[in-house]
Amino acid sequence: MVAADFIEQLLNGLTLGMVYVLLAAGLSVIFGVMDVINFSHGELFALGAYFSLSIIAPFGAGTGFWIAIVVAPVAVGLIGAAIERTTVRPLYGRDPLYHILLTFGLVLVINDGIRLIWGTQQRQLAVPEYLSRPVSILGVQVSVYNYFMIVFAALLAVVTWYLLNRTKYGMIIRAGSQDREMVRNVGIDIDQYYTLVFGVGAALAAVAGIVLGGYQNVNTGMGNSVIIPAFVVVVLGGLGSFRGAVFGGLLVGVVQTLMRAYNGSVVATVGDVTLSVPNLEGLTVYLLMIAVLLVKPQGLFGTRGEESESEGEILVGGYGGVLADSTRVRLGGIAVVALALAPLAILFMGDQYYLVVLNEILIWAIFALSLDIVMGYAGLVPLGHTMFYGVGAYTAALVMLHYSQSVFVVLLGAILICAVLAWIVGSLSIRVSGVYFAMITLAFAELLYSAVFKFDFTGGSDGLLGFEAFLGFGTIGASLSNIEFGLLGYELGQQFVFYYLALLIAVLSLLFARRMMNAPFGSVLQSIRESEERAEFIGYDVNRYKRRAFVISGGMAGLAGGLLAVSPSTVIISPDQTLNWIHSGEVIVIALFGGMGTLYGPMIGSGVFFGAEEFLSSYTDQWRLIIGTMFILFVLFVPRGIVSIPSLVAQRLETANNADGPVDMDEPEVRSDD
Amino acid sequence: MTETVLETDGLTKRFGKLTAVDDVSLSVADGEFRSVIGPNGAGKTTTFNLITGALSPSAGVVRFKGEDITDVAPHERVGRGLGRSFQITNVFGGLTVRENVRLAAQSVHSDDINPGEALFRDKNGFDEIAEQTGTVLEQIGLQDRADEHAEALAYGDQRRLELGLVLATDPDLVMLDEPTAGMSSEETQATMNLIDEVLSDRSLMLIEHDIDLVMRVSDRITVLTRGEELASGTPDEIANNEDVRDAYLGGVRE
Amino acid sequence: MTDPLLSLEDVRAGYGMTEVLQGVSMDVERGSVVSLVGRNGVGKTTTLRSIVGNITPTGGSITFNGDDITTLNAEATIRSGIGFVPEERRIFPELTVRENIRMGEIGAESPDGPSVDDVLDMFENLAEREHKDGSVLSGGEQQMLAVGRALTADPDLLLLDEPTEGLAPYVVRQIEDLILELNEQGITVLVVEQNIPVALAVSEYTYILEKGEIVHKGTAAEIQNNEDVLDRHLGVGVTD
Repeated sequence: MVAADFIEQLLNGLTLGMVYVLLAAGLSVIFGVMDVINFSHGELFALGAYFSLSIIAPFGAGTGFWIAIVVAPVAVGLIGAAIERTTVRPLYGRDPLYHILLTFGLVLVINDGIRLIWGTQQRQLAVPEYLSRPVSILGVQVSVYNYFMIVFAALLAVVTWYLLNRTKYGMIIRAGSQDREMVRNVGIDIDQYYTLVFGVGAALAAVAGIVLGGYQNVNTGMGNSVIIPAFVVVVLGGLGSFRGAVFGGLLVGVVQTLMRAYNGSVVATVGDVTLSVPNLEGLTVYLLMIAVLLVKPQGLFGTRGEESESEGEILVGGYGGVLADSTRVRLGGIAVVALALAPLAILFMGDQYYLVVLNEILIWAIFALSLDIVMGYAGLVPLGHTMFYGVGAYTAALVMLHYSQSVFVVLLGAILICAVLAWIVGSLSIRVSGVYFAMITLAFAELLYSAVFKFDFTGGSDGLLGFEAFLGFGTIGASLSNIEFGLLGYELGQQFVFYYLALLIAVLSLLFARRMMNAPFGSVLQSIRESEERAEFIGYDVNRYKRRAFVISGGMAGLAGGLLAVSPSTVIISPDQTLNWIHSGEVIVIALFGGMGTLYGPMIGSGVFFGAEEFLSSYTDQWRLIIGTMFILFVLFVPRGIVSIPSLVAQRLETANNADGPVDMDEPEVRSDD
Repeated sequence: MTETVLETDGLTKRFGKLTAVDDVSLSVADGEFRSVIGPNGAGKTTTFNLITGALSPSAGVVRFKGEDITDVAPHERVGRGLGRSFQITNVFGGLTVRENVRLAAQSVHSDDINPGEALFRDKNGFDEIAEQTGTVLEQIGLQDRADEHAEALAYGDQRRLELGLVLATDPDLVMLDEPTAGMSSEETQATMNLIDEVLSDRSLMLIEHDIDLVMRVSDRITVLTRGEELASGTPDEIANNEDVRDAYLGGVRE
Repeated sequence: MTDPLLSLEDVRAGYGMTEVLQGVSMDVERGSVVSLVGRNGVGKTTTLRSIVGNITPTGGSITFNGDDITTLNAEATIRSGIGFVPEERRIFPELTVRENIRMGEIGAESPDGPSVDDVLDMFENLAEREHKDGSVLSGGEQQMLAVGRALTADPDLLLLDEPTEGLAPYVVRQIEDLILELNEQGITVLVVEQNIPVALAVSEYTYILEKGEIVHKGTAAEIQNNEDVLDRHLGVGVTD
């Protein structure tokens, strides 16, 4: 029965939708009141499910489930409150980017913490038997659990609404999202309430996790898989709007489920033409998000005005550093020489594995460099930069498989395609600024991630394989895998050759970027980062410059992706390896670690990140936790990155009380009328 | 016969139900020093933003040096000679003084730089730009501090730098946006002296609250109230205008 | 002679590098209505914000009821007995009238102060719109609401920033009456105004601010009749 089937799917959609509502409600209110974008919301969601596992274990499914659904959210809520007090609170007043960075660091920490405590195996959340029975109402057959989820979540949503709109604390929180300073001016210390908001948001996410965990399963990737749809919901509904979160959550849940269910089904036949539901599952929500961001960035219910000039600034490394420019150049030269000799040292050590690591570092150094061009110089914060890395890799693989194996053609192809993509994405994205820009680039990246699963020519979920690079052109040269020569009795193979190719390209990229920043074009980018308004009013078309910077950046990231495909250690180009959003986060982490706005900083960051990963992973499985913690500490205390450490130390030594810190507040204009 | 450097015709701006600027038609002669004043909520800033291009009008026309610039983007207006000065917080703090000025000078030479040069040639290697930078630095008296970071400068020097940025774009008309806001009387005097020193041969349009100042330096004054033009005239004429007096001091109001 | 309720001594304050107040000194006697006037841009709002604690002065001192409140933040200042009605009223647009007033009550934590219902009794037109969102009120009603919100703190001193701005003449009259009435009930008022007739009508003593300094002070009666002072500091100047 088509109708019953439809209603079943609708119920499934509502079930999923309610989970989204719980997630998005917390996320949205946190942003509305605190201006904080909480990437770790997905992990708090997972934490709720995992806590429940532990609680249910001793009690059994019957009583355990009910205890868990009360206790676990409270526990997660407390954790959320603690997180706010210790890590988020110190960041108020900084550019919102830092919240994204911080909460991304928290993702690493919490996720690894989960792996440590509960292991990596997928688990089942035991649900009371009477809830998991199937039930048939009016020909519609679903599990009781579906109804339970919908009702329970709806109940919670109503309770939350009640708390927001009918209690004293809720009123204060609502007032806070309307006019924070005025809340202070009536005598209320709004900061204390932030902890409450964050904690309650975390608790709601935990409930969602338990509920969904019982419906599907509990696994370490569940947070990752739900955070992006949660952001889609929040953007759709409007940042800061509870009502919007409800509406958006249900809408996205239903649309996603229906599209998945009716994928490809025939809708109608008109004459010779068969109309079927296009295979847009997974793409629709991102298209929707992009559309909303372009047309009405505040979302369907959002009431926040135009994004105001951010209070903070992106703190760049290297500014006011202790080393003179010429010293730095000399150090750079030494570094290059050292890198050139490194493989020989590795050879003597006998383990070629480190070459593989170095190759990875070089590829990501180029990727991070590309990010610095837009983030550290033009002042744009893209959350979807991995799209260029991924598209570059895919393009390179495809060229190798179908067109030419020549390294030069392959890399050139990757650069060009990504530059074009960057031009398209950039032209659309640059219309919005700040948080919305970050979101829209994320949406594009997710769109592409979902897209590659669907097409045959991209290999679907398996990806592409069987490609090989040819170091040369036409018939002159040799296939990378065939290159072998002996040196001092050692055999040097393709890793070795690739290393020098990658090193050469990395150095050339850095020199190119440096040259560009010292040229008129780059100088304008820097002025845009300093003060966009002023740049406009001394006569520069700011949007055009941003777009061009984005294109160059995208092309360079594509180059990095292309190198990945060419690399002998790469056998497969798959979606998760190249286009998963987590890579967008990783490259930002790397850039910040090193020090943005310096070009070489992010490259150093790459070395540090992968080096640390290598080093730590030989001692413990929880290296991500350590790196995540390091990263959080950096965001809080060393925001200008590693390259700024020398000058930080110098400052400390100079004046004991020079706790000037890295925060510079923009001064408001003195104006009193109109 | 002096030329008109700036002219607005029926300039109007509505924000929903509120009409911030209502049918303002004014005309500034070449070389004139025009001030725009008015009590709170008069629409001065909105008018200013309409002329510089930061806002688009709901109705009306803006003409600059005889050409209709109503639909021209702000950065392009600068290129045509319509300069705008900000309050000091808008210099490029993290860059050196020299670089600040050079950027401004570079923008008016953009057409002379081909794409290849824009990407690859050393920014300091353009003779004309370097020369202009040097000249402007001298004019604003900051040549000795050229290599310091802008945000490290003292308040007064940042002011100088700000004017230097405007000067370097070689404007025919300079729009000054409350340049002495928040300043003491001495600082105000110093600022106006500087403006006189450096921009006297250009047309100037000033928005200000400091009436004393405005009376002293302006050739002509336009008084706005509730978005409309109340009066225009010489300082003497305005000082003796009863309607203007009432607008400020109260009394008969609609 | 008792000490003034509020006293500013050589207060310097500003935003970042811009020092708007160049050394402001003024006294507000207990039980009086004092006005602070001047053209816009001179630092009137900055003065109030310094008193309230939104800005921390870089020099000088502010004393209230014998206590030094110079460096207190906003929350603490309000609780010490000062009510603040800022420029543009800033009522919470998506809270109801009742909720707006309640916000003031929560902040004040004052058991003796008027309750929400007391305030609604005071303002008839607000009582009629008790459950409407703040954003749908007229300008005058919003002004009343902002004042009501501040009153729940049972303040000794009420700070009003341009309360008549943008209001129709008959509403202005209502505000004038309200100020006088509040004063009669024992509240000391410091009102900042650009509207000279209003300022002179409600206050006993007036300070004139220009370019961050007090350039003249006197009783309202004196100033009212002093054409020279009026023109020079508040009007369009005198032609010397």
